[in-house]
Amino acid sequence: MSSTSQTATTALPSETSKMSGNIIAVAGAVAALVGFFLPWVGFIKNGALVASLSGVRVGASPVVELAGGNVLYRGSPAAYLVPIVAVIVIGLSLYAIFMRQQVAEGDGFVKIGLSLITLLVLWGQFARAQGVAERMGVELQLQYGLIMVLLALTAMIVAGVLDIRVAMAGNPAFRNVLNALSFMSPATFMVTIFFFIPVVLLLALSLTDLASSNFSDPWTFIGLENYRRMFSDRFFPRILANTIFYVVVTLGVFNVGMALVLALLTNHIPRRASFIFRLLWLLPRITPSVIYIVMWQRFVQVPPHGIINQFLGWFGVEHQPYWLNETPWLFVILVNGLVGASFGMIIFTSAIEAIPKDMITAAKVDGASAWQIIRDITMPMLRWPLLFVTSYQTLSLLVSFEYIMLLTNGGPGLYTTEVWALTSYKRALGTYFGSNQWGYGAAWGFVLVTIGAILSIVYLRVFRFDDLVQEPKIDVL
Amino acid sequence: MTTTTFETERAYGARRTIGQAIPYILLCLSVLPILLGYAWIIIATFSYRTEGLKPVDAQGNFGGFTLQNWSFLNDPAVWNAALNSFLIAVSMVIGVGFVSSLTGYALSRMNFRGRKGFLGTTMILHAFKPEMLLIAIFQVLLFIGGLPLLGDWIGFNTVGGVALVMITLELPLGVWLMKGFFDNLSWDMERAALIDGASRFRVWWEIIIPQIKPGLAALAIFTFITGWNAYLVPFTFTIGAKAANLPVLLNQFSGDTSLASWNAVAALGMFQLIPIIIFFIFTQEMLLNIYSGGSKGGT
Repeated sequence: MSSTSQTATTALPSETSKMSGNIIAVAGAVAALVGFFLPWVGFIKNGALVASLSGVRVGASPVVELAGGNVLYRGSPAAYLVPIVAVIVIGLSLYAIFMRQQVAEGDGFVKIGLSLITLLVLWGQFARAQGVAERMGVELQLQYGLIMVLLALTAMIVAGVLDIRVAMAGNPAFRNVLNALSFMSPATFMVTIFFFIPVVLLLALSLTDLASSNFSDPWTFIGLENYRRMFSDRFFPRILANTIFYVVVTLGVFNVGMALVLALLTNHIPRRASFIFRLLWLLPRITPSVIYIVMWQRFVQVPPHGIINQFLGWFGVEHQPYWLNETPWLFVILVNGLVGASFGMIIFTSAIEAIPKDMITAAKVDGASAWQIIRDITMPMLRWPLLFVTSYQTLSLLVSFEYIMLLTNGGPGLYTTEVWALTSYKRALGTYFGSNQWGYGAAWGFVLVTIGAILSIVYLRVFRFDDLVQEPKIDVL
Repeated sequence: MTTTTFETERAYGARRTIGQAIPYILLCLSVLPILLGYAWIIIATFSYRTEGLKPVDAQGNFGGFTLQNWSFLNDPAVWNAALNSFLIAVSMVIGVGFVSSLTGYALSRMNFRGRKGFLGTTMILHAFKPEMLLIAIFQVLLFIGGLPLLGDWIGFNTVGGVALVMITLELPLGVWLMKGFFDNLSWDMERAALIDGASRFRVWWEIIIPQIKPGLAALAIFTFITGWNAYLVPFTFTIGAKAANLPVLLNQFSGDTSLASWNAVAALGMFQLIPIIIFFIFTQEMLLNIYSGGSKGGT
């Protein structure tokens, strides 16, 4: 406060708005404090506090009960969040008022961000809190408390906006950052909600036993039990072997092998014809997965429906089974491979076209055969595209299960074509077993997410994507 | 001097023809399954029944051409699903286009603290495959669904929720593509406007966006197809027919229908394929570009 009195004689407009911002922050902090603990008064009246203090577990923990667990649904993880966030909000605004000499760039954002998080949590828990409050007989207190909290949060947001305006007025660089942030914020917000929070949530889920049978209960943390269960599953070796087999064979035969062969072949025919083939190769990719699988289902059926068996009939072959049961892996790999191969083919084709024509002409003049040209010129030039396609498609095969789910759903029989990703999905979200085991499924899924995250970072380093990144063209005029 | 045997002109010609034919034969074989699949869809759509690829009538004789498979057009559930599909696709076109061009512009043109970090994150997320996150996103959507007001629009089992998830999952690709388009743009006009005092947002909307219309169109086609075809996300986050889209409906329908009468399934499939085929016929060049250059791979 000393700095304020010193500059009071030359009070700048920014200085006054800084002051008003901070006054509002104090008001917000006090209101949040009162609002939070008002329902607690009613709670004492009901004797629940005594019970929780004496160690009788009314809810998830005495701490939660103390810090406003009755406002929120008891025992839900959100109940832990609100008191923590409230304490941080209050502490921070106090810090901003008494310790800061100036408004820092981050002040406003921290205030606004924390307020919004608190608001969101409260919003989500309000219906449950009402139920609890009714049972406890503290509805009135809950209402007062809620109004206080909302007022406080609004005040905090206003304070944050004022902080930002003050910081902006004195700092053009900060204005630039703010400009950029306003452009970035929609994407950041969405990616946070549907990428980053789910990653954390997946880890948290994998440590609980959440399932549809105990869905309405609070989450119970059971440590690494899900992972232990996963590794000791009777079918674990089989699923692991399936996954490796599926990834390696699909990758080797189709996504890289066939893609390479096709790219080399299209390179040996006129451009117009090769364009048509490349276009046709897009068809599996842009055909809706469900329809694509319907087509394959028709291929493999028993007579008189099956198309393969119709062809076999023309050649007089007697053996006309339901091919999906006869050779399930063949079709799982074909179905995925024909979609996957086009990706590599397109990349390889453009890489081959980028090879200088002089080199090939020179080799031809020297009498090299087509095979020699491929072996000694084309292939060495394709080293990076090959590595790129291999690594990229490994990850994509590892976590993709849509086509397998539609085609065989892991069958026929037990786990014949079930891969890791499919197991995870079925355990967590499939209703085939009559129950969703989110916790257990999340454990399977989190292993893949970890592998995926590590691999993507490794690719980034190996392929030096950072070097491709251009510097911004307009930064300072 | 050693005696060399020269092959006759005719033999050489024959060898050449065979050599030239081999690539075509192999390439034709490689596209055979998808062509046969489409052939079946088309034949089955317009026939009473099919045996293999042969259209047959009730007695099993060749023929039996009919339009009765299209009777599903009287079914309001189909139109509801088609509307949902369309809404998902259109919100993806608008959402991905708008948000990615905002973000792509900032990443391409502005220098701010954390830019490198944002770019790195975009690239990691681009390589990262989000299918496994569906389990956790399910919980997020349930949470949003419990919120007053918001929950009815973007919660679990709503078209809005499905669209929002799909938009977000497509963002890393969209941002990356748009950044590439912006990078290739000359910045003279933009700089002049900024010097004249236009705000960043105004420059973006009035000067930059009109210049990248072709790029936006390509992204729009790509996202429309992705949204229209979407199966996994709608299947996971919807229950029953309320928010189901065409692929979900089709999958359920094919499961409920006996193999002999899959001609109705084929017709419904054909119905769903109409926009895809239109794009395929009229925007081939653009499609190939999206799936090769920019995208570096959808799946």
